[in-house]
Amino acid sequence: MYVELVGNQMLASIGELVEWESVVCHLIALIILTVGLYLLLFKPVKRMIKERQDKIKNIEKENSDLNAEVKKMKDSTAVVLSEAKKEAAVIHENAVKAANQKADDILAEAKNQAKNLIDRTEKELDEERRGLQTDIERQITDVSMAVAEKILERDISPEDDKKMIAECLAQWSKEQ
Amino acid sequence: MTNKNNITANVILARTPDAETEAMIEKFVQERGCGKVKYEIDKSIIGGVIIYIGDTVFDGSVRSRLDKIKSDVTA
Repeated sequence: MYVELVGNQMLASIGELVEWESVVCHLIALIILTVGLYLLLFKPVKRMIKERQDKIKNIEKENSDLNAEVKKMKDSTAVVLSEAKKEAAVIHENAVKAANQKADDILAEAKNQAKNLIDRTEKELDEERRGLQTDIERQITDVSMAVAEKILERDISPEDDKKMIAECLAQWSKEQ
Repeated sequence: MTNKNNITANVILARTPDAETEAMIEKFVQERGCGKVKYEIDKSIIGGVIIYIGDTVFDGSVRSRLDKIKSDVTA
């Protein structure tokens, strides 16, 4: 009861102090001020903030795109570099193979030439040896024949000669 | 037609033949149709006899035997 009494008294005091028209006017003024502030200040600022956010998003997107492109270029560079290394390795390997093949060919050619030279030399030596052998045999034969002729000329007696002639005639007669 | 009795047999010997040898040779050549024999002495044949009757040659000389031996050795 006491509180309700005090409250009523305070309301009565406030009602005496505050004019309701003034409060309404203040409220209207506050609303107008709020709407004005909203329209003139808050909305442009909000729009500006949104634009900035969009701009930042665009920049971030561009940055992201650039980063992706850079990453893609890095990957591409790595691939190209890897392929170049592989190609260089293949070229090096082929060059080594070609050099080895060339060396083998040169060595084989040299061996072949050496073998041909040895074969030719051996053949020439063999021919010369055979020629010398034939010449020696011919000389020995000539000497032997000459000696045999001399011995036969000396040793064939008229009787031997007669017997030889008779044998020849008998043989030819049989053959006829 | 050729008459064989007109063909002369050329006989080469190393030495002069005796009568018996001549008889053997003449008998041989007559059997082959030769009526005449011409003898020739050539010491280079060493021994034996070579008889030419027309194109036929009977070579029984020591020289030809030596040449054959030489040919066989050097072949």
